[in-house]
Amino acid sequence: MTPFQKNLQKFFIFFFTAASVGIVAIGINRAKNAKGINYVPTPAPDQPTPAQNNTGTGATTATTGTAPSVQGTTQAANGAVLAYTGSTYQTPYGNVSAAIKVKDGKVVAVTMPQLPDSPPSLYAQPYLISQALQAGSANIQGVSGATYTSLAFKASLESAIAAAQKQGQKVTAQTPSVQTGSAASNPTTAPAPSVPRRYSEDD
Amino acid sequence: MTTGTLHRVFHSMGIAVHCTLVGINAKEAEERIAEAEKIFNEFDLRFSRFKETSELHQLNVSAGKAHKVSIEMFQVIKKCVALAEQTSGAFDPSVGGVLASYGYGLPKDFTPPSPLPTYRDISFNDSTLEITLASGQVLEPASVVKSMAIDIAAQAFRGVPGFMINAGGDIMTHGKFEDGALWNIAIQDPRDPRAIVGALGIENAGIATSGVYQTHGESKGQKWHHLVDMRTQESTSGILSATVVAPTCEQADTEATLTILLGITDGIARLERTGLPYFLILNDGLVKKNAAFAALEVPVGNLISKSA
Repeated sequence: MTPFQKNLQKFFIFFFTAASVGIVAIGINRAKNAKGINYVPTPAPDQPTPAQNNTGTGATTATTGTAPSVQGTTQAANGAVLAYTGSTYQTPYGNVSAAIKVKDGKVVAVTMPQLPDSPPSLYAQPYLISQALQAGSANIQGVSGATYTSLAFKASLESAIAAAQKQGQKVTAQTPSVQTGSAASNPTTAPAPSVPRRYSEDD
Repeated sequence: MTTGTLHRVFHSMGIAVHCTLVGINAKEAEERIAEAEKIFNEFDLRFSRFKETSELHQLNVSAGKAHKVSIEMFQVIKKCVALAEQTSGAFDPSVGGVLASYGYGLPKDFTPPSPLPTYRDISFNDSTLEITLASGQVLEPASVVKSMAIDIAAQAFRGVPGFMINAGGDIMTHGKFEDGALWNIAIQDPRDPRAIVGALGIENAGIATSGVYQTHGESKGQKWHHLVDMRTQESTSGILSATVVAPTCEQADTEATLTILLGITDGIARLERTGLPYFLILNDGLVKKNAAFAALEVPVGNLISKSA
């Protein structure tokens, strides 16, 4: 083995040792941070107050990006991406606060850091989607839910069709395609978000 | 571009049926959709408890006499009885009598006999395709029928590279969505119909959510919903919403419905035996799901972040 090879070997040993120590240190840090997030709020099951009003403020804020109630914890991440955390609201299902990431004036991510997400048990965290879907910014092809039956359905179908016809369409469907790079989707035939609209008009 | 993503909605069985087809030209799609709609309408005409002309209604008013039925009806009622046996009667097609007495569906102004007949009172004659119900017994196989219709309508789309049929929240997917992507299916929040609680990516699978939050009402001061535990003849509680993913929509729907009816302990035990991915929301908002479901999950944040 030449002196050069020996030095190279030493270098690699030092390099990988240092890298391992670094990774372990990062891992410990992350584990510590995770503990803080996994706070489990006690639910109040006999108060069936819908969470929609409370969470609505957070999510609307997130989707519109105007953030009137944002607590002002602005931090720059990855250059132009800014993160905001909304106020915390109490709901029967736990505390809710929304966090958004904004890039170039557009919301690029919505998360709810307040709700615990440690498996196997966690609280269902609601995302208000109607605005997102109607704005054509959701990559969701269908919503699975309990069946709508005749009466509620008829009214909603009529309204969905009316809404679609208003836009000069023959049919409606729920998700305007915003798949990135989907050459097949034609904006003029992009269907109205009938399912979320149906949901929102039903209540 | 002759092929692309096509969306069509038709109305059958009292629900909106939303079909999405990928990689098929518009003309062929219209023919396939028409075929699928026909299948749904045939199911509706045969199995509706809301139509006086339906075969099911004829059976329900056969008043204790042997009644000749179609092979389709015979098979569906047999299937319902098998499920009733498996669940010790928690699921029972005789629920039709309870629902009718609430004014939900036919027969009109129905007063159920006491004691209420159960699945054990249904007798079959396999050689003549005759079903004999107890006097005053009203069957409602709807929870099986709709997802069966979805699976059979899916055959109308055979050969289509990718498609999804969404009938009132019960969904069958085949192949891939655009650009080889999985079908992203969100799960409705049972507490707020405008919200979702999660999403998952699936292909070649059915997904169904059963819940106590859509069909409900009040009768004689008592709140009821359409899922009635026939062991107690009361609307069940404990689980707000059950979502199951399975190879067929029928299996997904059946398991989701049975989970609600069986309640938390028995329902989860049954799901664990099937090994199917499941996601439950309990009355207190707590979520129960298995690892198989977690493997399919897609963070909602990723789905609503792709701004146009």
